[in-house]
Amino acid sequence: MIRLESVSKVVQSGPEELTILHPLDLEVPKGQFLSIMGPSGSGKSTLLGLVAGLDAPTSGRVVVDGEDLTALDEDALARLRGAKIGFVFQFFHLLPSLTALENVLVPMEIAGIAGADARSRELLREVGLSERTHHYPSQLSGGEQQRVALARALANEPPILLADEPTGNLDAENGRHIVEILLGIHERRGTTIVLATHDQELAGKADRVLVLRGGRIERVHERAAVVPLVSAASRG
Amino acid sequence: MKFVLRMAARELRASWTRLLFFFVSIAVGVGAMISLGSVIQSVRAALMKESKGITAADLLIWADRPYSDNARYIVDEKLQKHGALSTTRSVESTAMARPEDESRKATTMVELRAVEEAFPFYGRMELADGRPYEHDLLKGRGALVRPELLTRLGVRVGDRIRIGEASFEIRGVVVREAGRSLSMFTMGPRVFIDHADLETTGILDYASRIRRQILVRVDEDKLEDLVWDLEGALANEFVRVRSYKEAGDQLARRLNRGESYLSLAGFVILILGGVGVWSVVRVFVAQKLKSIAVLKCVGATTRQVLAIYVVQVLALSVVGCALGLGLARLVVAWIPVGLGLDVKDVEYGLTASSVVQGIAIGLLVSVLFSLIPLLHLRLVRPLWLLRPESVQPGPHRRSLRERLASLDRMQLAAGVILVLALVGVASWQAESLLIGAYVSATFVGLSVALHFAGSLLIRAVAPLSRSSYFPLRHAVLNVSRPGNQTRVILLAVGVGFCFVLAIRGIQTNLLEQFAVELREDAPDLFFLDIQADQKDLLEERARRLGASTVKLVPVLRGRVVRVEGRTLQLESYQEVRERDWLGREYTLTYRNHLEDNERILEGAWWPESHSSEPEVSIEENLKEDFGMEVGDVLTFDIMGRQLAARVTSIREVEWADARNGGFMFVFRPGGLEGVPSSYAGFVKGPNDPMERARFQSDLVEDFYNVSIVDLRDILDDLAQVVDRVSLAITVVGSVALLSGGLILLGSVAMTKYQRSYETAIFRTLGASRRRVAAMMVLEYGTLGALAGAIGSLGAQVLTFLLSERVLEIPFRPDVLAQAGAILAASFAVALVGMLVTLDVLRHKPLSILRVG
Repeated sequence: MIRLESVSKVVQSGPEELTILHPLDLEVPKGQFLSIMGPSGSGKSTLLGLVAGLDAPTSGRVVVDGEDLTALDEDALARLRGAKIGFVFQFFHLLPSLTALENVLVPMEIAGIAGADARSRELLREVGLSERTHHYPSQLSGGEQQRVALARALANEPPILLADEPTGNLDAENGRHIVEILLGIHERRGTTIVLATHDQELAGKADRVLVLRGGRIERVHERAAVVPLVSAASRG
Repeated sequence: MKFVLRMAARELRASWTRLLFFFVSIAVGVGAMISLGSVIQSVRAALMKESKGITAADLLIWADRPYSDNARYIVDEKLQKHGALSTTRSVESTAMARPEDESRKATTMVELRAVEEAFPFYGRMELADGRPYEHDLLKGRGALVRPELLTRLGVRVGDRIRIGEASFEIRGVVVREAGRSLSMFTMGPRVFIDHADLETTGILDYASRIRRQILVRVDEDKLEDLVWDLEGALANEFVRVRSYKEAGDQLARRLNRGESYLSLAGFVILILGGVGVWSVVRVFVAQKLKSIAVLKCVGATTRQVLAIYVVQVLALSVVGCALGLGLARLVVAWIPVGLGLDVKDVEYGLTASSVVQGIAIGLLVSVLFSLIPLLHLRLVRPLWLLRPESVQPGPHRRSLRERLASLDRMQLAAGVILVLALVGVASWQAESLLIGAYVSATFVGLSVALHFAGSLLIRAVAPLSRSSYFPLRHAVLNVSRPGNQTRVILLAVGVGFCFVLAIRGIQTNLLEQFAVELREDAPDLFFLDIQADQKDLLEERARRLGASTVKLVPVLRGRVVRVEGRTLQLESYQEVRERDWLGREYTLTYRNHLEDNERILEGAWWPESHSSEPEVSIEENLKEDFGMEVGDVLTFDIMGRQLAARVTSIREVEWADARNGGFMFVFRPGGLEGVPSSYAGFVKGPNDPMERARFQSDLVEDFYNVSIVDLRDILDDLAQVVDRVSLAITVVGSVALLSGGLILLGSVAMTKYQRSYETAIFRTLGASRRRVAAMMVLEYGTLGALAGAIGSLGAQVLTFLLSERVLEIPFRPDVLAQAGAILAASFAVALVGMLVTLDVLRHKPLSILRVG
C-alpha cells in the first residue's frame, strides 16, 4: 500500500542544513496498523507528512497505492489525498468557520460525492457526536474536536488513515476514546493506519511498531514482541 | 463549483463583520466616483448650456459678405443631411444711431443685431424691468437696447431713435443678452431689432461690416460631424462655422481642466479604496492560512481554494458597490442644499453612465487589488499544519539573488495587470492617456520607493535596538522582525498620502488660476472707436473723471491672406483658411514698446525709430501651430488693402494678465502708415455704480462716437461660473482628503489583527499597558512620518506632472503644507496605532493566546 524507497529529508534551518530523515526504506502492506514511535525531533511527523504527500522528500520515492507521489504536482497530490488518505492532526485543525457537520462534509463536497449530508451525519454518529452537529469548533471540547477531525478523515472512505499524535492534546479519557474509535475503524474497514505517537498504550495496539531516532529507523517490531520493547523504546 | 460557492458562503457568514472595512473602502470609492461623475455630467450639461448661451445656438454659421448661391446650397444641403433641428437667421452690423428728436445732438455707433422669432436658441435675455423677453417686443420697428445707449443718446424707454434711415421705438432695456461673444470687441452698445425691419434701415446697402448669421440647433451627437462637413465644404467660401464649444475659449479650457480634475479625483479616491481593500484582504488571507492548508490537505486544489476567496471578494465588492451607490445618491441629493447652489441652474441626479462606470470600475479595482494578496494562497502548503516553522523564513538576510529568485511571478504578473488596468481606467476617466500614465507611474514608483524605504529604515534604526528604553528597543525590533507590518503601513500610508496631497496640490494650483483671471485691479472698461485726433484728449479727460488706469492702443482689423515662409507657404486665402484659425480676422496694433506681459523669444524687437518697410512681431502660438518663423513675409488684407510685412520677432504673451490685452500681431510703427486706424482703450473705471455711470456718460458727451464696453457684466458672469467650479473643486478635494484619510487609517488599523498575539505575549511577560502602548506609538509614529515624507514627495512629483504637463497651469510647491502633511501623517498613524493597541489591550491575554 505504502512504500518508501531511500527516502530522506533535509531542511534549511537558518543558514544551516538539517537532516531530519536519513535515507530509509519502509513498506506498509494493505490493512496494516503501523505505529511510529520516537522522541521529539526524531522525524515522526516528517515521515507522516511525506507519506501524505504534504511534503516532498529530498531524495527517494514515495509510492502510495501504486502512485509515485514525487511525480505529482500540488493539485494532483491534493486530489490523491481527498480520495485515498485521511489525516488526523495533533491540533485537530478543523475549519473554525464551519460547524461540525460542515467540517465533515467538506471532503465529500470537494470530491462531488452525492448523499454527503446523510453520510456526514452517520459518521458523526459513529464517533458519538450526533447531538453536536451544529456546533462550531470553538464550542466543542478538545476530545470532541478530535472526534470531528476523525469523522472528517473518514469522510471519503480512504483506504489509508494517517494520524500525527492524535491523542497528544487530549486527556487520558478522551485519548482512550479516540484509540477505541481508531481500532474500531481498523477492524471494521481494514483501513491501513499509520500513526505517530508517544502513547505507549496506543502504540502497543498496532500490528507493527517502528522506532525512529535521530532520523533513522532504530528498530521495527511485530505485534507479539511489541509490549516489552515499547517501554524500552520510550525510555531511550 | 457547488463546493466553492458553499464554502464561500460559509466563510462569509463567519467573518463578514471583520470585512466591514472592505465594504467601507469600496463603498467610499465607488460612491465618490459615482457622485463625482454625476456631478461632473450635471455641471457640464449646465455649463455647456452657458456656453451655448454665449453662442445662442449649437452652431453658428456666418459670413461677412453676402452668401454666394453655392454657399447657400451647401449650407442647406449639409444642414438637412445631418438632421439640423431648426435654424434662425440673424444679422450683425455696426450702424450709427441718434435720437429721433433732432434737437438732441447725440449720435453713437451701435452694434446692431437683427433677429428672427426663434432667437435665441439658448441663453437668457433679461430686461431691466424684469419682463420676459419676447420677439413681439421687436415687431413693428421696436428696439431693445443696452443701457449705455440711453446714457449716450440721452433717451429713455419709449423714445424713438433713428438707425440708418428707419425710426425705432425703444421698447425695453437689455441687461443680459444671449449670443454675446466674450473674446471679441464690440463696437458700440447692442441694439436688437426685428430681422424683418433690417431692410428699412438701408444699412444693407452701405454698411461695411455686416455679418450674416445662421444659428442652428442640432443634436449633440450630430454636431461634430456637421461642423466638420460644413467646414470642409465651405473652405473656398468666405463663410465660417463655429460650434458652441469653441465659444469662450479660455473659459472652456479652464472648465475642461476642472472636469479632468474632478474625474481624476474620483478615480484617485477609488484607488485609495483599492488600497483599503488590499489591506483588508491581506489580513483576511493571513488569518485564513490555516484553513486553506486544511482544505488543501483534505483534497481541495489550488484553483478551488482561490475560487472560494475570489467569490467572496466578488460578493463583498458587489455589496460594497451597492452601498457606494446608496452613498452617492445621498451625496448628490445633498449637494444643492449643502453647497447652497442655485438648484434652477443645474439638475443634480445620478446619471446612468456614471453609475455604470462607477460600479464597473469599483468591481475591477476591488478584484485587482484583492488579487495580489489572494495569489498568496497558492503558496500555502498543507505541510504547515504539521510543521508551522516551514512557513516563516528565519531572520537571516537573504541575498538579492535569493530574493529575486523567490519573487512570486504570478503576483508580479498580477501587479503588472493591476498597473495596466489603472493606467487604462485613469486615462479613460481623465480622458487622457498622459494623465493615466502619470498617475500609474507615480503609484508604481512610489510603491517601489516605499518598499526600499522600508529596508533602509530597518537598517537605519538597527543600532537603536540596543537602547535601554524598552518601548524604543521593541519598537525597533518590531519594525524588522519576520511578519512585520512595516511595509504594509508604509505602502498604505505612503500611497494614500501621496494621492490625497496631490489632489490638494492640484486644487490649490487650479484655484489660483481662476483667481488670477479676476484680479481686482484689472481694467473693466473697453473703449472703442477712439479717433486718432481724440486720443490724447480722451485720455486726459478720462483720468480727470476718475479712471485709475487708461491705456490706449491703436487697432485695425485684418486677415492673413498669404504666407511666404521658410516652413510655411500659403499662396492664397483659401490655403490660409485651411489652416485652422489662421484665416480669421485679427485685431492688429502697432507700437514701439513691449508690454509688461510680453517677452521676446526669438528675433529682435525693433528700435524706437519708424521704418518704411513693414515689420510685424508674432505671438508664439503662431510659430507653434503653423511654423511661422522670423524672416517670413506675411500678407495682410486690412479693410480691402493688402500689406506685406516681415516677421522680425516672436513674442510670448502672458494671456492671463489681461491689463494690456493681448495681440497676436504687433506691427512696427510706420508700416501701417496711411491705413486708417482707431484706438481702443483699456480703462479701470470707478467702482461705485453711480460714479461709474456718470463717468461713462460724461465721457460720451465729449466723445460721442466712442463706444464704451463695461466688462463688469461679463466678469460677473464669469465669476459666478468660476465660483461654482471652484467650490466643486474644493469640495472634491476635501472629500478626497476625508475618504483617503479614512481608508488609510483603516488600513493601518487592520494591522491590529496581527498585533494582538504579540501584545498578549508581552502582557503575559509583565509589560504594562503603558509600555506596550508606548512601543506602538513609537513604531507607528516613525512609520507614519517616513511614509508621510515619501508620500508627500511623491505628491509633489505627481502634482508637478499633472499641473505643468497636463493641465498646463503653473506648479507652485507648497513647502509649508508638505511639512505639515508629514507631521500630520506621523501623528495620525501614531494615533491609530495607539487606538489599535488600546483595543487589543482591552482583551485578556489568555483569550488571545488560546485561540492563536
